[in-house]
Amino acid sequence: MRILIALLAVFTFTAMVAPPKKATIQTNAICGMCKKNIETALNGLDGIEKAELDLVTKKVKVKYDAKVIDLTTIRQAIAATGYDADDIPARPKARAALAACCRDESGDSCKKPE
Amino acid sequence: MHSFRGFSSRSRTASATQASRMARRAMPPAIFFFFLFFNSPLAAQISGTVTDTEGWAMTGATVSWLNGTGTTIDADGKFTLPVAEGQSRFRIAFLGYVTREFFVDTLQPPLRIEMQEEQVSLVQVEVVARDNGHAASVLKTHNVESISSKELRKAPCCSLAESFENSPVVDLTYGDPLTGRREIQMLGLRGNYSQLTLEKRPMLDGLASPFALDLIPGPWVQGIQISKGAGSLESGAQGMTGAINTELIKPTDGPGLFLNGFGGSQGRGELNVLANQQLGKSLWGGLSLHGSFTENQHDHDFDRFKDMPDRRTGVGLFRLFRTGTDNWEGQWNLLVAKDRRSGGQQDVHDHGQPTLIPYLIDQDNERLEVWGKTGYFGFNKPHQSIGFIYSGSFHRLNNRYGRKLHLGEQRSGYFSTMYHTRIVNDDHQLSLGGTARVDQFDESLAGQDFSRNESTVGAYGEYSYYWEESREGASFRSLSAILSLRADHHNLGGWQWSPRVNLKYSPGEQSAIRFSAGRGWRSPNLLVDNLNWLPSSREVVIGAPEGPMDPDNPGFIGLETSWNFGLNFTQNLIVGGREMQLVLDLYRTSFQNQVILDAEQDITTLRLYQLEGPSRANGLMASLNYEVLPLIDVKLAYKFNDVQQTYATNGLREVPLTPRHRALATIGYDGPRIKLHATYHWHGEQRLIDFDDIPESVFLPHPQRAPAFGLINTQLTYVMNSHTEIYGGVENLTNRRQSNAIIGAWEPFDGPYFDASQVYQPLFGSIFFVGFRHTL
Repeated sequence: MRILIALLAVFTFTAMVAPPKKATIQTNAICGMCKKNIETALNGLDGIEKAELDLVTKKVKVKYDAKVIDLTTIRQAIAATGYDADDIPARPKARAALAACCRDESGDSCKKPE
Repeated sequence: MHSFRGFSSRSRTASATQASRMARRAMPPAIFFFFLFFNSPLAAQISGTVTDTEGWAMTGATVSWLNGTGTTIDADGKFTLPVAEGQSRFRIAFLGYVTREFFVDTLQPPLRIEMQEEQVSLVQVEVVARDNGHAASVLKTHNVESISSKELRKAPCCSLAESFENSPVVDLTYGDPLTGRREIQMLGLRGNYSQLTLEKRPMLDGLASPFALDLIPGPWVQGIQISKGAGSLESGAQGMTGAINTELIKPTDGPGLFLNGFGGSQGRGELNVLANQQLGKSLWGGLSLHGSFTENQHDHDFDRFKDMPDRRTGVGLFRLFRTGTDNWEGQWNLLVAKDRRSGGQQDVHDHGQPTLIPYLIDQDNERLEVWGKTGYFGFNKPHQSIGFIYSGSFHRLNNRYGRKLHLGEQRSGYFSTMYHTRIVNDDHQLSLGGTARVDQFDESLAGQDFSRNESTVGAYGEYSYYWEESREGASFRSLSAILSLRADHHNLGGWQWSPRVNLKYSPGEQSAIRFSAGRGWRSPNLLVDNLNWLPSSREVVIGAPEGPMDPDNPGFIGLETSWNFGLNFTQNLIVGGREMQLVLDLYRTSFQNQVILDAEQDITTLRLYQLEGPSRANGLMASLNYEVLPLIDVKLAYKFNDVQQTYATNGLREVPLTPRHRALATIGYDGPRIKLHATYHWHGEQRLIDFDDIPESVFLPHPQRAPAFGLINTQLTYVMNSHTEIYGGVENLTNRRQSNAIIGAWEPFDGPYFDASQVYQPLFGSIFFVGFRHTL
C-alpha cells in the first residue's frame, strides 16, 4: 500500500512538467529513407521530444520544448538534412548528398517505408 | 562595395565583445549616431546578402538582435534588419552552420556574408544520453526489457546463456556435472516455455534446444530483447511465458575486425573473430568464427566424476546482406556448428562390483543451418511492405549416457511471410502473416523409438492502435493496444487458436501501465527438454497420452498449451539529476496441457505424461535501477515465484528445483577507462525430489529442501585505448559449491540408484578469468 502511495505521488509529480509544444512542418520527403533521415536528424536535437514524418502528407509532426529550441531552428535542421521545410528550401549541398531515390521528386525510383 | 567577414561566435566572441566595449566607451552617443548615419544611407535598417561557402543563398537563416527580435533571410539570400532600440549586436544563425555575430558600430552595409558549415554533419549528431546497458521500455506496448551489448560485456563470459547472469528477468541454472547443461528460467518456468528467436526467427529449436544458448557466442550478439508474458505472435505462439529475441551484429554496421580471447582458471579458453566488409555498392559480407574448449580434471568432491564435461565447440557464421537504394533488400546466412562434450567417471574404484567400466557421458551435436530474409517495399503506398523469412536446417545428435545411446536427427524447413500496412493513418497499423514449418525427427533412446514428423501451417493477424493526447496545452497521455490472433494447424495436435491482447496506458511521458493476456502452445521434445534427467538409473516411461497414440509418431504425446496474464508498471524518474527506473511485474501462467516430468512415483522410472488437473506459475518481480552517484549504477531486484503442478499420484505440489524467493543486487562503476561490476545473487530454499524411497545403502548428503545461498560475481574492465580493452574477474567469489551432487556415484551401473539431476548450486568453486577485446 505504501508503495502505491509513493507511486501515486510520483505520477502527480511527473504530470506537473510543462507540456511540450507541437507543430507540423511540410517537407518534400519521398521514401522511407527520407523519413529515417529527417526523423534521425530531428530526434538527435536537444529539445525535440518526438518527431514523426507521415509519408503520405509529407508532413513532420514535432513535439518540442520551446524553451530549448524554436520552430525556425527545427525547419533549418530539416533543410540542413537536405529537404524543404515549409518556406526554407533544402541546403543544396545536403540535398546533393542524399541517395538518388530521395532526390527524385517524381518518386518512381523508391518507395521504402521504415 | 565592401566585403566583410564578421566574427564567428564561440572563442572569438569574447575578445570581440571586449574590443567593442572599449570602442563604445570612447565614443559619445551623439557621435555614434552621426557615424552610423554617414556610413549607411538607410540608417533605420541593416541589409545584406548571406550565402554558404559555395554561393548558395542561406534562405531561412535567422537574423536577430540579442533580445530575440529579427527577421529571416529570403529566397535570394537577402535580408533587411530594422534597427532596434538599445541593440548593438545581431547574429545570423542556421542550424548546422557556424553562427556569426556582428556589431553594428563597425559595419559597412550592405553586407556580403559567407557562412561556414560546422564540422559535424547533422545526421551524425550523437545523442549524449548515458546508456546503462539495461532498460525496460516505457514506449513499447509489449513489456520488453532490452540488454545491449554494453550490458553483455559486464557479464564475465561468454555464451548467450551466460549473458543472463546479470539479468533480473531471466535466471540461469547451474549445469549438472554429467551433461553440463545450463538451463534458463523465466517467470519461474523452464526456458522451454519461452520462445527463443534469433533475429525474429525460431532459434536452434528441437534437438538443438538444450544447447541453443551455448552455441551462440556472446561477442556475436548486438542486443537481446526479453519480452515478458504474452508477446508478439509474429514468429509463432511458442512464447508461453515470454520471448527472448537475440540480434546478432550485422555486417552493415559491425566492426571491420573484432578479436576476443578469453581464458579461465577451470581450463577454459575461447576465441572469437568477427570480420565485416562492404563487398559492393549495396552488398555487405560478415564472417563470425568461434572456437572454445574446456578441459580439466576437476573433481572437487572426489566422487571420481568430473565436475563438468570437457567441451570443444566450433561455430561459424557467414552473412551476406543487401541493402539497396531500390525497392528490395535481403540477407542470407549460413551457420555451421559442432559441439562435443565428454564427461563422467574418470577412474573406477574396484570395490567388488561386477561392472568395472567407467560411466561415460558423450554428447555430440552437429548442425548446419541456412536462412534468409527478403523484404520488398515497391508498393505504390510507402507504408506497405512485405517480407519473407525462409530457413532450412539439419541437426544430428549422437549421445551416450553410460550404456544408453541417444541418437537423433532433425530436418527442418521454415517459411514465413509478413505483410505490413496501415489503416487510414499511422495510428492504425495492421500486419498479417503466414507460417509453415516441417520438422522430421528420427530419435531413439536405448532402442526406444521417439521419432515423429511434425508440420504446422498457420496464419496470424496483428492490429495495433495508438492514441496520444493532442489537445493544445494538455499534458501528455497515451494509450496503445495490440490485438492479435493466430491460428495454427499442427498435424498431430490439431487446430490451435492463440488470441492475445496487449494494452498500455501512459499517464505521463515517463510511465507505463501494461496489461497482457494470451494463449500459447508448443510441441514438446520429450527427451531433449529433459536432457539432464537422462543420465540416470531411471527408465523413461511415457504415460498414456490423451486420445490414441499415433504408432507412426511415438515421440509425440500431445501439445502443451497455456494462458498467460500479466500486469506491469514501469516508471522512469529523475532523482537528484540522475535517472531512476522502477519496474513492477505480476504474471500468471496456467497450463491446460503440459507434459509433466515425474520422478517421484518410484525410483526406477522417469515418467512423462500429460497433465490432468491444474498447473500454474505465479510470479512477482520488483526492480529498481538508479545511478546513485555519477557513473555508479545500482540495481536491486526481488522475485517471488510460486510454481505448482499436478502429479498423477502426488497431486498438486511445488515443482522441484525452483526457488520461491530470489534477489539480485548489482553495483557498477562505468568510468571511461575503468569499469567495475559486482553482482550478488541470492536464491531461496528450493524443493528437491522426494528422497524417501532411495535405499539406505546409497549415500545421500542432500537435505529434502536445498538451503538458501548467495553468490558473488565481479568483473573489471580496463580500456587501454579506443581499440583494445582487457578484462578480468571472478565468478563465485565466495567459493560456494555443492558437494556430492551425483547421488549413487559409487556404483553407477550396479547400484540401486544413480542420478545427477539434483543440482542447485555451482559445482566448481571460484573461477578466475582474463580476456581481451580488440576492435579495428
